[in-house]
Amino acid sequence: MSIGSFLPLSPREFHILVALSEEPRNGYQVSQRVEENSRGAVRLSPATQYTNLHRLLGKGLVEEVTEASLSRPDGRGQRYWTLTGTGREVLRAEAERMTRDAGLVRGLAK
Amino acid sequence: MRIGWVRRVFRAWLGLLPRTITSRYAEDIAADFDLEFAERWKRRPLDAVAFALRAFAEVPMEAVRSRRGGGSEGEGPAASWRDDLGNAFRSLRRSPGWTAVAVAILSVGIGGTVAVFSVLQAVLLEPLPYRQDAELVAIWTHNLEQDLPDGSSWENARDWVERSRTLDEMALVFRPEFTSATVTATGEPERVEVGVVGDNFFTLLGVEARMGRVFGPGDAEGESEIAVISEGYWKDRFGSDPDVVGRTITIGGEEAVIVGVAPSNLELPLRQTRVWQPLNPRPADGRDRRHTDAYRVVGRLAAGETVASAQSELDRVAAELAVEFPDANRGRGVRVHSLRSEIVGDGLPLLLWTVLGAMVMVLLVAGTNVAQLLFSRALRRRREIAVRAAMGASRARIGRQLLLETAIVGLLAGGAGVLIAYLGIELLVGLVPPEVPLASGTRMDARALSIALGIGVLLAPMIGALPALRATSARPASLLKSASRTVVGADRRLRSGLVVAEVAVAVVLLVGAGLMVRSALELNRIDPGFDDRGTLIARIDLERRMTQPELVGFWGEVTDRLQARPDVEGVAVTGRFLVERKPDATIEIIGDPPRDPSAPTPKLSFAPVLPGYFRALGIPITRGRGVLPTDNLERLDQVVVNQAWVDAFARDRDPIGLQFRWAGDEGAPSMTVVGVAGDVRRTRLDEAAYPFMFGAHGNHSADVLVRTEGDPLALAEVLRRVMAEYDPGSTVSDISTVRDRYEASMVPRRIQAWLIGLFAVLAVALSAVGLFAVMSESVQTRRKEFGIRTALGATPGRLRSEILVEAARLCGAGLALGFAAASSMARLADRLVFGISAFDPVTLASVAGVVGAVALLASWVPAAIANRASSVQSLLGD
Repeated sequence: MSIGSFLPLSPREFHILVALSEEPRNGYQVSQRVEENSRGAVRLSPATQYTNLHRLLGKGLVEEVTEASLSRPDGRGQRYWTLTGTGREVLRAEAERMTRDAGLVRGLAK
Repeated sequence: MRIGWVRRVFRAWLGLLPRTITSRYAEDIAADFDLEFAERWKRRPLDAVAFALRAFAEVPMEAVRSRRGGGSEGEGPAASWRDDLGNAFRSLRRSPGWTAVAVAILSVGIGGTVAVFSVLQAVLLEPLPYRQDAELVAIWTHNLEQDLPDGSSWENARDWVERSRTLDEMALVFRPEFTSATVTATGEPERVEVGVVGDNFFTLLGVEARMGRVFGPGDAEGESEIAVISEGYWKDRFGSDPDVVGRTITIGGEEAVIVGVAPSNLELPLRQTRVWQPLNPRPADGRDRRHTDAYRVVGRLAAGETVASAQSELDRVAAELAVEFPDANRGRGVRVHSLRSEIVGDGLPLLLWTVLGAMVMVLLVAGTNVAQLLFSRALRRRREIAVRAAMGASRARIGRQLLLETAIVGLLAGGAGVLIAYLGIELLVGLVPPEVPLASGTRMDARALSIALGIGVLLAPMIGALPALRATSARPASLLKSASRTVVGADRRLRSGLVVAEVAVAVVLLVGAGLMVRSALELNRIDPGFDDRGTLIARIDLERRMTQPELVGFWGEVTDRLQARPDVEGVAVTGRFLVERKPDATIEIIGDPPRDPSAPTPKLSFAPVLPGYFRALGIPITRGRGVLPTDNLERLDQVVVNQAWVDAFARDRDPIGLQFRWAGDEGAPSMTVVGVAGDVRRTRLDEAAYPFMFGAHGNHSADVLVRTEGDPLALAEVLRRVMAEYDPGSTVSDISTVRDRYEASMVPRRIQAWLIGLFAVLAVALSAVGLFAVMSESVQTRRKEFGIRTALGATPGRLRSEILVEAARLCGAGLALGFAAASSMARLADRLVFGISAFDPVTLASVAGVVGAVALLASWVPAAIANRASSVQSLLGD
């Protein structure tokens, strides 16, 4: 699949990819970071968060890493997420697309 | 707060999501929910609730989204989900009447709850418009013996801050009840509340000027008079003049330069304060005035400190000060309140929470009623459900569709509830008297909106679960065989249980409403101590300055002039007639042994009156004489006291001739009691009279009371004319009747009685509908039985009474349960009632009567139907 076929990303997907592009994070950290990055404009409730991550996983843009060292009391490993190579390329392409589109309306934003 | 159950409910709720998601992530989602909820709860519980509502609401939305979008999910589940949703909508559309009733009932409950909650939130939960408002406190000197708050001296307030770690800073405010003044801005002179405040007042609160500047260090010592005006005053009197800074106004005869405009949300020291002036508390003569009580104190807690920690530290400081300065501080403690509780007052939180509690009860009854409706609906659809089950639909599938229908009803009700909440807020804010602080800030915001929808979405499945479970529990074969003929016994019991619960809640509300209405009636019967009908009251501030004899002469002329009119029965002149402040003066009876220094004296108030005061108002003089024109005006030496004074100070002695003087001053001249007057309530109607003493004394600012046969307010113009004639610069303000003044202090009680009464009526009506539905269906399903029995010779009367007895059993159980619940709340009720007991027999009997009558009414029609069941028709039926 070409990178272009993933575009445009939904605001949620975009922000999740941005959050993961900085470093691998677990679900809670992703939602905190997204809310911070978007200044509260994008909020991910837990259910939304994981269905979106699951979808991105299905598209091959993110992958799971299990951090055994951060295991929970219940013995399960903490699930971490990180960008795949494709994910990073898609994010870069999306950023370029947004910059280009933003250029079209630069005169308006005063 | 234990939030375990929230998490468990959420975990179960996740079952709505596709299995591909839940099998992998259910634990993570639940854990994240838990973590974030707990985090937010610590910071701001409301936020956590909003988050939880959102998280809950997102689950079904996400379920629909992922199933719609994902071709990879497989055709099966996606299609069935869409089908179910479509089926649910179609099914509701097929019975629009049923849907409308269910939505209406639920939306009233939701809308009302959100409306009441919004007012409560604005008054009690929203931050005050000041910087770090949680750190702000009000500090009062406390009269330990009478348990009354008192003003403070600069010396004591300074020491509180200097000797404590918990207090960072304090600002003094001259007691605002003394600082209203005649102010002339651009037009006529008018009476205006002036806040006389320390020069750090604004910076302590963190309030910045809307224009110009606020006070800063050194302003109090400045040579010239300056003032800050309120935004409202700026608009009204200066037409929002952008160059207002630098203009002058006259305050109490002195010119002051306006240096700034304060923002409209500054409601301190009083809501009505329109002008602020800086205050210099340092006595110019250097004398110690530690015993005085001229100031209110606003403080800021040090970071991390609480009202409780400040209280315990100041208790220690107050004890030290009482030892170091026994004359000034004997029997004086300190009380620290949060500034919010100071502004909101004592009664309001209880009132608001009670009303919210009552409203939530109505919501519960409404929910129960909708559950009843769902049972009926499921009963009617038994055959449809049986057919679907027989054709292979799984129990879960059928249940899901029933639940989806309920969820849609809930969502619709939430939407309609938003509208009702909006109207309800308008209504409530209109009802709330303007004296109630902060209520005007109530608005319909996004949070109220999401709460309304959230309640709808959350409540619906809870309501729908039981009926759906019952509807899908029986085996298809038996359902088909028996469809629409008999009601499963367990069903009947469940529904009867719901009716009992509804009646019980309605009874609790009725008892509450009854107690409050009875209290309100008791208030009407309170004797204020004189005949207050037809009495005008107005505040008059003179411009002319006069000596004491001149003043008394002046008021005498005004009084005579008014009294000469045929429609005037009497004219009384006194200081402020209805005082908000508690008594604060202390006296010593001459000849009594010195008082135990650790036991403070009871306090009293002094009321200056003009001769003729008691006669004009019809207050009885029970002993001695009243205030006479011949009394010494230069020096107060002969006084009339009230009965409360006699009870507090004279004890068993004859009060007439008793001599006393102001406490703490050996050289003070003595006063003699020459008469005893009846008690008059001069604070609030529901507060007993305090000790008072009266002496002949004229004031430049006085309340004038005029008694008339006719309409008291018609005399207002006369009063204005007379005053304009005698002193053209005087102002006449606060014109009202004494009755209205008393009433105003009772308004919160009346609103409460009114609202809870309204809720009780709603609850009773809803339970009547519930009872009616259950009885009707009971009759309906037993028609065959009745038919057979009639054929076998049972008399119609017997069948009818059987139905009525069944209804009576349900209603009796509800009554018993309701009374039990109500009596467990007796301690709360004790704080709300006035003049009656929480177990007021009249109220309880009336409630039982009302509930019985309504139950009879609701079951009469079903009973009559049973009665008419003719054997042939019933046997042929079906």
